[in-house]
Amino acid sequence: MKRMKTKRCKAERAISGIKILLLCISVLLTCSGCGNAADNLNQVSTEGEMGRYVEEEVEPEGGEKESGYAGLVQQDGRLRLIGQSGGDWVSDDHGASFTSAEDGTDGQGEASVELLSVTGSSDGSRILMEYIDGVRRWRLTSAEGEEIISVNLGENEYPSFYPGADCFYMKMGSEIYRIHRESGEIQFLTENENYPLALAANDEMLFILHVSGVSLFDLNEKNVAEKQDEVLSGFFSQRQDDILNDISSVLLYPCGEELYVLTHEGIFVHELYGSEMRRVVDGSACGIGDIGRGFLGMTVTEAEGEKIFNVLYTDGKLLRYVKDKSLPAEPEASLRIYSLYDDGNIRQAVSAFRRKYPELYIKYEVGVNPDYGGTEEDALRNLGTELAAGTGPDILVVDDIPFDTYGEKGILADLSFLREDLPEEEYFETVAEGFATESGLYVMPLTFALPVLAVDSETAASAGEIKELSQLADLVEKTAGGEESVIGFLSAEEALRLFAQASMGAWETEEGTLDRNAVAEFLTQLKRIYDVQMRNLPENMNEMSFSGSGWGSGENTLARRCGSYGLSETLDVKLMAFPEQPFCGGYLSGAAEDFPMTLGKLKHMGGEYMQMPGQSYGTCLPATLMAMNSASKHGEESRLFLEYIFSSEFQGNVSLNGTPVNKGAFLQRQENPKGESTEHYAAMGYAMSDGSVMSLQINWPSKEDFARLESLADHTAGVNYCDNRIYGAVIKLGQAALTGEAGIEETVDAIEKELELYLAE
Amino acid sequence: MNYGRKIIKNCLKILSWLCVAGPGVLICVPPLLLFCGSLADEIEWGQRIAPLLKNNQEYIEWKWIPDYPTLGNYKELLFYAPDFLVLFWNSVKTAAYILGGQFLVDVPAAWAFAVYRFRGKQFLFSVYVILMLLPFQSTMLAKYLVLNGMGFIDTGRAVILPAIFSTFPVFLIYRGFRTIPQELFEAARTDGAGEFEIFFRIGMPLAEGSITAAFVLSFFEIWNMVEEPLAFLKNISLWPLSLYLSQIGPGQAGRACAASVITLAVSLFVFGMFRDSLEQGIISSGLKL
Amino acid sequence: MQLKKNWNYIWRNKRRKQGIKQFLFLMPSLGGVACFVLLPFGKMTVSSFFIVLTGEFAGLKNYMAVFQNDAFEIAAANTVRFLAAGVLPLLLLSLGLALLINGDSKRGKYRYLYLLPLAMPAAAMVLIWKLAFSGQGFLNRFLGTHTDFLGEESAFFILVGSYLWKNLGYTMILWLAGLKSIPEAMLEAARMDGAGRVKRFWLITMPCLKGSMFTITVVSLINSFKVFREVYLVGGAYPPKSIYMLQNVFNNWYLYLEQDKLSAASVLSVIVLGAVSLLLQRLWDWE
Repeated sequence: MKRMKTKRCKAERAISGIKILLLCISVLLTCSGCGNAADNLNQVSTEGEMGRYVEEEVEPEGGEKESGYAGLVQQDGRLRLIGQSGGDWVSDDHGASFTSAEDGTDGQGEASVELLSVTGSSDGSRILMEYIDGVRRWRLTSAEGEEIISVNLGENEYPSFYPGADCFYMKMGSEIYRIHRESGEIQFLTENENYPLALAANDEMLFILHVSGVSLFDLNEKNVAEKQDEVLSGFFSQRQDDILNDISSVLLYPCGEELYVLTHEGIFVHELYGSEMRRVVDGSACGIGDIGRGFLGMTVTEAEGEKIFNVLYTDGKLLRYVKDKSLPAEPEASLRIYSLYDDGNIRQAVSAFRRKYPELYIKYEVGVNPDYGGTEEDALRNLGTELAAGTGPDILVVDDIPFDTYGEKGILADLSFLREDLPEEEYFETVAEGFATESGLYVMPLTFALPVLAVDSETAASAGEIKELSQLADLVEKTAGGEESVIGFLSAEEALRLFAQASMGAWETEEGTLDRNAVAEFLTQLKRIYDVQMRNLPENMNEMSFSGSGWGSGENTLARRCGSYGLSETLDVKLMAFPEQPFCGGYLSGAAEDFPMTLGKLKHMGGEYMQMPGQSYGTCLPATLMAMNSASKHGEESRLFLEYIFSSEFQGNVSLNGTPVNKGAFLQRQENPKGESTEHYAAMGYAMSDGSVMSLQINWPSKEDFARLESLADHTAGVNYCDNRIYGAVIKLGQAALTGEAGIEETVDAIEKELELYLAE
Repeated sequence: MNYGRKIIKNCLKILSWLCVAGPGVLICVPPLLLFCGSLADEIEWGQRIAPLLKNNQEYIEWKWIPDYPTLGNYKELLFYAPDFLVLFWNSVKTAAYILGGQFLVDVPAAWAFAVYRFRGKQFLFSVYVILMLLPFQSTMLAKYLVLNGMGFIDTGRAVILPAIFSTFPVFLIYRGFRTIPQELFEAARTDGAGEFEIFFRIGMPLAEGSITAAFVLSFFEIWNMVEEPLAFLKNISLWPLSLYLSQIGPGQAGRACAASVITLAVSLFVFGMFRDSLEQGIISSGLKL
Repeated sequence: MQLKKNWNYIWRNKRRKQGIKQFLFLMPSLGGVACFVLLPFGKMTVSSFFIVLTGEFAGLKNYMAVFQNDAFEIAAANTVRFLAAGVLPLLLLSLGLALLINGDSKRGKYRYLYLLPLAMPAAAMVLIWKLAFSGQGFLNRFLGTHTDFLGEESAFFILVGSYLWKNLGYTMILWLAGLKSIPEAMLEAARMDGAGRVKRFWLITMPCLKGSMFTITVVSLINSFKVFREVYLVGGAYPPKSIYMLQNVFNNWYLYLEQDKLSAASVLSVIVLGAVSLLLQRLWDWE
């Protein structure tokens, strides 16, 4: 008996010993993972550290600066700023100053040659892509201007060039070539099945940035690298949308064993095959975060143990970032701006404001972080807590926030001072005052858009003015003939979102409850249109629905609420897939980029636009709604910020998402950025499903075009806004009514039931 | 007659086995689901739950063993997601602090309630119980304001301190101390033992089962704590693991399963360590008179 | 005379010293609780009589508003319904399981397996619900239908089932602990006296379990409030009516900054819960 007991005791002790050992090992493992990783999450250097990167502008001396800059490269510590017209500048003091390079050509040659792009390398040789006599070609020239080779390009060939350590890299489609600087020899390197977007290289490795991340190509082995870098790839694939939107918003710079990545969030450093992307310069604290411009080139040099960054921007500015050790790592925020979702307009506003008032530090907080499990309501709840505790943010962007409740509770300050203090600023009155209540103006939209319907000119002429959905339904039923899509939506949800743009304001009553009749009427008329559309659509088109793609992401409320239903996008779909489609709907913003592109597409289709018919006909869609915390401790700075972002100084000089509410700014943006004289603005092409490319020439809108838009904006009947929940319920449940699964009355009942609890609270 | 009784007895035996095994099987199914789910990569998950997303008339295809089993989800979490490890470490730290604090604070308090007599004891205890019953949402704002006033918001202390002083463990351990007969203490006192000695040498060992049970439950609660960190911690680098992917989206199902499996595994591991003393405690709390 | 006085003095001193030492045991907990639990609660109670944003005294106005609020009525009714449907069956089922396991050591071999559900994170639970109970899920596959069980009345039963599944194990362990603390000798004596199983259960086991019953009921009540996270993850802020409970109302009032109603309703719920727990204490814990 006793012996058995001892045996058991030994076994038990052994087991508990193993257990303790396992525990220790696991603790050790977890310890190894933390440390630096915590910094990584915050992505800012640790507290208490001194030293912050300060931005300064650099002006090159001499040379011909008018034609602009094409790139920035570096070799052996010498920086070279590539000039568009042939003259370069060099710097030997880490980019503090640039002087005109001796080896340069002047002028670009024959006048009939149109220069499309220039890519320069560190020894002065350059590749010019030109358009001459209807033919596109590219030429490699040496530093002295001698042509080394010249290659004509075919119809479908669109190469891009990138400077390498001592050569050029060319990407054409999915193929990548290397071009020798001296000899012009073209060497095929590899083909990447993911469509490559950009290239960067050092001596040993070629980095291929594509839609799913980054592929590494070993230049020594002349083969795809054995080991790929998952962390780097992951970093880029997370920012896919931004990159696809604008490839110049991202730049890679290999520097020895490290790779520097420049995005609008800042400058990151990554050790090849390492586990983290560490941010060294905070983009939101300087011009890097300005999303109105992209990056043309960057260099990284080292002096006194600290890295120095030089960045060339697409607007021609050359900025330099040097670490000032006397400043604390993160200054005290003197102003806090909060929005529930990331807003591109606010990012631009913050950058611009920082540039204007560098001594004021602004912190931009975004409520919902999709990676980490908080929902929208959790973010709202935390915001509410902060506001109740008196530690709330100073300025609120209330797009998805229940601002009527906030207003009732006295949390928002009256913004009337914006009108009183700045009498010289002109606004689109009905929009600016759109949210005014008896007790004051608590919310003011920064931008807005107009819901419109594009119709081909004949139908427009015969139809006259259409204000009601029923009239549109009549017209659609009359016009619809053949087998083609009629109005461009592919699913019930898309239809609802599209036409809600001009009707949603009617769904909410004065007291804030659901207006049954309005919703019923909306659904009835929309169903008629829906039936016609669905009848005529080819069978397989249901699969192609692109609803939901813009939902939840997007840089402002318009994209989030109305999906990708800007007129520009819907016209894209129509032109690519349904050329015969007579109607097309979406919201139109008078922003500099959007308006000319949309008009160009309209002209191509032979149509014109009119205001979208609906129950709230004539209203506009407001976006980026600004409000101020009445308990803010930084009243002065808040007012300064608001006054700045509503001024024509700001709104006139950046391209916002949406029409600027400041009328002066709107008038300012009517000048063609390509130059007064040309009509030409841009060229674009559609890759059709049969392989051909349909190209469009886009001209700058005429004065009449702008005048019409201005008049529409001036005469809007107000803002079209509906309570978020009511809107959501109609969209979610209205689909059944459209597809016929449920009757209209039934659906309205269901909507009411869905909202019952919400309205009861 | 005997035969009939034997049949009934056997039937009852089988029935009681079923009653015990039935829930047992039910209990094992979800964790198994999670585990099998964690072995499938995102593409397979996408295929599986496509009917759910498209909301059509098909059914979700479930394969217990995935077509392409992979440890990729785990690899991604443990090696390529530094945030996972940071949050994990946060959880471990928080749990350690809270459990340590609770041990120092709540066990003596339970002892006091169970053994000593003083004025207002019942009243105070009732207050403890009532406070315990409140759902978090009711006092969330008030708690925030108090913590904010002390400057704890957005630090670990905001979560750790209230949890240490939670009245829940007191309540559970109270039960354990209650079952010890008073005579034992009197005897010890007359033998000249001091209060603390009695507590340490007699009370605690006898109530070991309850204490361990309370701490096990406490650990599970802390490990899966969601409300408090979400409300009081703004800085993501301070969040505990339970908030990682706490909202599972369709594109992250594989990773979410893997994260859940790891979370579960830790809980079980800790539990396994203390199972023996739990066992011992429960057995020994039945005294022989 | 002198001697008697001295004895009294010594005895009282000793008592005082004992009293202080005893108090030391309780002090840390009291201090912390007063600070982190009582203080917020007190603040909230006081503020329930005022209008938060303007600071004026409102008396019982907030309470009236709460009583008249439809959403609150619905939620309160649902909460009571859930408690009744959840806590009672839980107690009975777990007691039954505990008795079954207690009687036979073989059956009890894997009893700690039952603790597994308690360790499941809420989000994982919701994923499994979606896989099993959505319109395209396993249950529908089994039945051949396409109803979304999570979206209607049946959501209530899923919630109750989930609550039972989660807490069965732990509650059973607690019962087991209670059962084991019943003195064997008493049961032996009863058996010798010829009392049958049922009689032994009613006359000896149950009375001894009174204390455990109190603990377990309270624990189950607490855990029933914790289902909020699952409800929230499945249904958002406005889940199907059948599972819309008090915590939802509180959460939403919070979102829309309805502090006044929130404080008043919280105080009300404390009063009710307090009454319930006092009742339970009286029944089962009073010595």
